[in-house]
Amino acid sequence: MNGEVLDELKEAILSFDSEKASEIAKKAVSQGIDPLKAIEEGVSRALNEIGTKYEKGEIFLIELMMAAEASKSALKIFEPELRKQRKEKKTLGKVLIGTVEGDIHEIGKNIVAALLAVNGFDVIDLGVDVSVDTFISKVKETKPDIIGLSALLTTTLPIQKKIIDKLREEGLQDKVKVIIGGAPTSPEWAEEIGADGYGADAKEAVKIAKKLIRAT
Amino acid sequence: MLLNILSKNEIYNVHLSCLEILEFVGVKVPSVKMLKMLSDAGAEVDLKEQIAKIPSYLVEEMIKKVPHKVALYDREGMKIDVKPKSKEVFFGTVGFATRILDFEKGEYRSLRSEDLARLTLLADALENMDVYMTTGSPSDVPLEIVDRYMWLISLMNTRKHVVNEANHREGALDAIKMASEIVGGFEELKEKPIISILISITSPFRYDKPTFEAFLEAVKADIPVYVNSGPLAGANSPVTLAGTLTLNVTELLSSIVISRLINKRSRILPASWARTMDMREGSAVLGGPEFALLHAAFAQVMDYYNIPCVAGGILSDAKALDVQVGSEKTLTALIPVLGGVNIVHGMGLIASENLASLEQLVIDNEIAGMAKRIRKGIDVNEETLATDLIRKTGLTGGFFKEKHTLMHFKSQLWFPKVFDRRILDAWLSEGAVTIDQKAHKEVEKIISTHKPPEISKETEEKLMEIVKEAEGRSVK
Repeated sequence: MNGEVLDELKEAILSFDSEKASEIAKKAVSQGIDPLKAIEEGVSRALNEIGTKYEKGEIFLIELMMAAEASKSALKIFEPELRKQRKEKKTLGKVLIGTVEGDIHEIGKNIVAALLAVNGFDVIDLGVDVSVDTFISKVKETKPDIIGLSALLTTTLPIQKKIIDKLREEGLQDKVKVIIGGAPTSPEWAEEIGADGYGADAKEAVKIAKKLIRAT
Repeated sequence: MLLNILSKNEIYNVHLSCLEILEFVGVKVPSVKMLKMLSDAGAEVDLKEQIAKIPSYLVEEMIKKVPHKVALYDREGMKIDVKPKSKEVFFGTVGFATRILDFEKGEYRSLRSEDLARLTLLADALENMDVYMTTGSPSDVPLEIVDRYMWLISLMNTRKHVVNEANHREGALDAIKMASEIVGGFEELKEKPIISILISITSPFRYDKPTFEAFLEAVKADIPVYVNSGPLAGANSPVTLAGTLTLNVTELLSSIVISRLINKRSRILPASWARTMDMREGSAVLGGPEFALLHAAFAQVMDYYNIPCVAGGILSDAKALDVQVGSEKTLTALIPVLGGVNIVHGMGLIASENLASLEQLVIDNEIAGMAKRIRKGIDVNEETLATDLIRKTGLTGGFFKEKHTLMHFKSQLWFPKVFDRRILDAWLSEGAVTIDQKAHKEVEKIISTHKPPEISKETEEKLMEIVKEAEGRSVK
């Protein structure tokens, strides 16, 4: 009985249908299915499949994004239930991600966020044009394992450096790892500003995030 | 989307020149019976010189009567409708290489049966390879009956429609026999032909006797026939492109008249391989801009006749998987497609059709994919204009997570299999693999996993018998 609903949930995510995923999640809750089990057997299973398909080139970016969206809409239903039961869902780690101040490019950042989510990270997306101070205060507030800084303009590259400098000033550099990305960035730039990782593209970013998590 | 290389008036002038040449120069037809048929139909015939001068009214009449659509089938019953003005363009391999570029050894060596089998199997797996022309002529089988082995190996390794050359009557008959064995009989073959027979006219205006006999057998049997005309501009044809186009079309019109007289149901696909001669090297040029122009213009003339057509394209004179090969292949694929050619043959071979390459075949599959996409053009309607969507999203302009994107991206966008589109650092970090290396990996993957069509032991033995019988006859 439970299995059926969770299979439906998985199918909804695999067919990129946010509304349906949310609906079925509500159904699962009303049937009294353990939210942790629902996340693991419904959402995570679907996302694993999506991740593998994307790696193999069987599905496309937009489908990856839509699947991540669908899973988010299901998680929105399950999370209050989890809190009620004082349970926490298992994640690979928490990633805080955003496009830096002065830059409103979001596609690359969104792809990285989606792929991280699909791979089992808990992703907090701060959006675009995120100020240095917001990054710092959010790090303090949410205590992520990793922060991801995206910049698409050569003029906003220095903000990545500013954020890292500020993390040092605040004594946070050992508490959180920094990954940078964006078209004008390079491994050399990452090294120069003292970032812990550089993601050439979304797949690389996920690889590096996993590596950094293992190292901690 | 189509290009007009020629204006309507220019097409008409080419047509008038063709009629004049057929009426006053004529064609050499090495068959008394055929000459008599032509004479009865109104041609002025010289039996001694074997020349038939065909009057305009007869040519014009036959152009109207010839089938305006030719259906080719594959082994799974899939039909390829070859028809003028169709937005669907098809691509095929080309023949008949005697050598192959051995990628791993970096060697140019003679092509063997197992190479032909691999080329055929690979072609079978590639989605933009629609019609398989036997790519190679293997060196390890008896030369007298190499065509039978070419049919055998092709039929054993691809499900797709097979085109191969017949140089004489027996070759054509054996090909028809083999294909009949596979589909379960001659009537079945006629209904859904899985093979076409290619015959070549010798420029200018001559049919040699064995080829002509093969042509007659194929037409009589109702099998689709590719009639190939490949004049060499500057050598056996005028150096001016208009002159070579005229000679090219004239030759093919003669085949239309002849085939109609033999069999009213004849299925003819005029095929142009018109080329130019390099005035420094004396070599035939297949990768140049003139080759591209000639076939686009040829397609325009055939379109004027409302007759489907085939042409060489996606070809190159380069000898390696280099930049020249990519430029020339793209140019000679795209321009004929935009001229309106229905089937473009040239995949898998480089070095002016003399050298086969498995890796190039994979790359050609990409080029063909791009050309097909361009031929489709841009469809403009309410849904594709997306005005409402743009009004809805406004200045925030996020389309990446829109249903509209999810719904349309696959039909709007072409996706490469091996061409690289990652960003620089991602490519560098994965070993900076070049396209030839990547194509090689793809070749290995396909060859090791793709299965040839299923053929019963019994059928296989029957095919072998046909080959062996031909071998027996040739020894005698």
